[in-house]
Amino acid sequence: MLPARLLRTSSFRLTLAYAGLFGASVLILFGVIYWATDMYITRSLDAAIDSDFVELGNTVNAGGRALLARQIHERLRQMPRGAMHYLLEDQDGNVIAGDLPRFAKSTGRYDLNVHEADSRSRHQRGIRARGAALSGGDYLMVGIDAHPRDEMHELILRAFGWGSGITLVLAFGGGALLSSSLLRRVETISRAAREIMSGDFAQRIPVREADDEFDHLVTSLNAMLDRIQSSMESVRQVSDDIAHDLRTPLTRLRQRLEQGQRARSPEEWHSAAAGCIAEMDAILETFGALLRIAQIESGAAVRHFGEVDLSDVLRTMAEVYEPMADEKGQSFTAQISCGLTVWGDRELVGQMLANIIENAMKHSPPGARIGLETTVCPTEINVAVTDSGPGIPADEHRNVFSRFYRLESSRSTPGSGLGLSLVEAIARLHRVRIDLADNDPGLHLNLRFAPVGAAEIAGCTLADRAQGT
Amino acid sequence: MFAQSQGEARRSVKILVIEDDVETAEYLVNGLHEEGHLVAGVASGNEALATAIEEDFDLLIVDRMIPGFDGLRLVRALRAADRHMPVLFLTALGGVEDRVSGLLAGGDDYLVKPFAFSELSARVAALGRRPRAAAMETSLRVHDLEIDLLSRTARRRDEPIELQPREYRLLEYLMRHAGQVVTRTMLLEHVWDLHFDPRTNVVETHVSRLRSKVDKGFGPQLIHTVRGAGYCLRAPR
Repeated sequence: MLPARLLRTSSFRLTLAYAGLFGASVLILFGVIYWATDMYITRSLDAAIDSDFVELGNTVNAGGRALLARQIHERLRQMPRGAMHYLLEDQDGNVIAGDLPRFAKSTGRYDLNVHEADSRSRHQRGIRARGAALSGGDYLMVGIDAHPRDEMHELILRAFGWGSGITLVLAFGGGALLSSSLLRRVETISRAAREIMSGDFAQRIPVREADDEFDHLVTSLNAMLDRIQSSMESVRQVSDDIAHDLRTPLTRLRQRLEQGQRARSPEEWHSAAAGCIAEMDAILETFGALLRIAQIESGAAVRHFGEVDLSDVLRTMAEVYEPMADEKGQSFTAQISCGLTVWGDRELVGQMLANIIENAMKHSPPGARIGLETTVCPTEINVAVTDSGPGIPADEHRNVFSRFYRLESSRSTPGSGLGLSLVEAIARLHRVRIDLADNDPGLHLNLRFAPVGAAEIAGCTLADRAQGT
Repeated sequence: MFAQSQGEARRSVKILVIEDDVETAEYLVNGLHEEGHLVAGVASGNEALATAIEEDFDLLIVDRMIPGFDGLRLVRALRAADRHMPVLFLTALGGVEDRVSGLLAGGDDYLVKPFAFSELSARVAALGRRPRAAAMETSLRVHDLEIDLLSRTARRRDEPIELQPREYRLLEYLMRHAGQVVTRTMLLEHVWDLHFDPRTNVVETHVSRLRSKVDKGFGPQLIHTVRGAGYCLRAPR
């Protein structure tokens, strides 16, 4: 992996920013310690000077300048390398006693550097001093070696240097380590994405089973890819279907138009036009049904889902179709429980039921019995549509839901072969299971709805998936 | 701009057609004009808004997909400008949610392209009718047929007619639109609340049942089939 790429990663930059922040806080911390220590030591040095000053002040009061000078000499003689240093000048600036160099007379406290008294080293030493004017114009300065303070400063600075050095090394190292591992995982994802883009739509991004945020991301991306793939397939399916199944009626339409062109009387022309309109309506109906299936399969309707009074929808259906069956000489019986609610779209549920009932009626001969019945158990609502018609052979059960599929036996009855495809699309959208069974004779079609509480959750997750979140 | 028909229209409706496709617009304007309506056509949303606010129309026919202008926005803008004439959406968008959003935006009816002209014509007649002043009416009467809107019962020549609840709703809808053609889809939508087209002849069956109760044995026929269009309940001339 290229170091330059590593430096560009957001995780590395983030780590650096953290290191910078951390370094700044270390700096502030050390600064505070430095300042506090400095203040403490300086204050204790000043205290030592002050007590000496008081003592020497008493000496002046007792014996004047001569006694003071003697005292200073005595002290320096007793402790030649002691911590205390003195300077006593008269008002003309002549040194009377002491080991400090001559100094511009100034009162108050200050820090000064003096050259080492012994000439072996050119080393400067720090002195903390206090100067004051004495009565009679003399000037007294008392200094104390600031060596402990300098040592402490040095110690703190060295600790700070090490500390920040280690921090930086850790930050860079950790950042690089973290970034390279994240980069590897991101790289896996983008490699998979590139492969998918180059046409391998079945490819999915590998999941590491670590259940971390990367896995969550990958799972979401894979779910999104599944969804996109199925949408693409359904679009392709629709275009295949259109190409395949609209060609025949369009050809017929063309033939009829040509007939119209050759018409010799208004009557002929009229009948050709009527035939064209009928053909066109059939084409539009097929086209509309295909679009509707595609629209339902896109899952967009889930956003408008709400509670649907299934009992009411079923009752409407029974009311609509009972007279129809009567007309055809079929008997229609409905047994509908009250208060059934499901989660979904009222119109789509109605259309699904209408298609199923119409299908049963259409394929059953006069005299057949059509039944619409609900059975309820705690986990599901079953809606069964039964007929005593010819039924569907068991090995065809799966096929009847595919588009344009028609049983050999029903080729002669009118229909587009899309009715049950629409049923299946609506059922899938509503998470309704369809089971086909032999009614002996006839077909027993059972719809298994989830009652509202359970289906609501299913509906929501489906909605989330539809939005690709 | 207006195409005024020569003969006196029976119930002329002043219509603004908002449609950007020239051929469709011409077809609509000419067709509605031949039906005796007063029709104006505009092709852009902004022009439509200005015209509809300036003049007093009885009905707007709005294409939902005018380039650069959603029909829904037009209707919202009109409603905001306190224009409450009925609006009929004409659209290629036929999904459930498209219809719902159209009606929510303030549309009164929704017709999916392609459509039969007879369907549009029937809906225009139903929407363009001025609301009757007497909103408090409790009964409707056509010739010797009368329904009581409160007790939801029907009588003909003072003889009660037994009706199922749905048959009553069907009859009430026909009575409310007496003299007008109502189409199969209008009946499906308003009587059964079904917004899709069952491929079997549901409406035919129910109307013929109703007819056998209302017309059979009572002399002049009131419920008529209008070929290629729908049904019409009207008094004998």
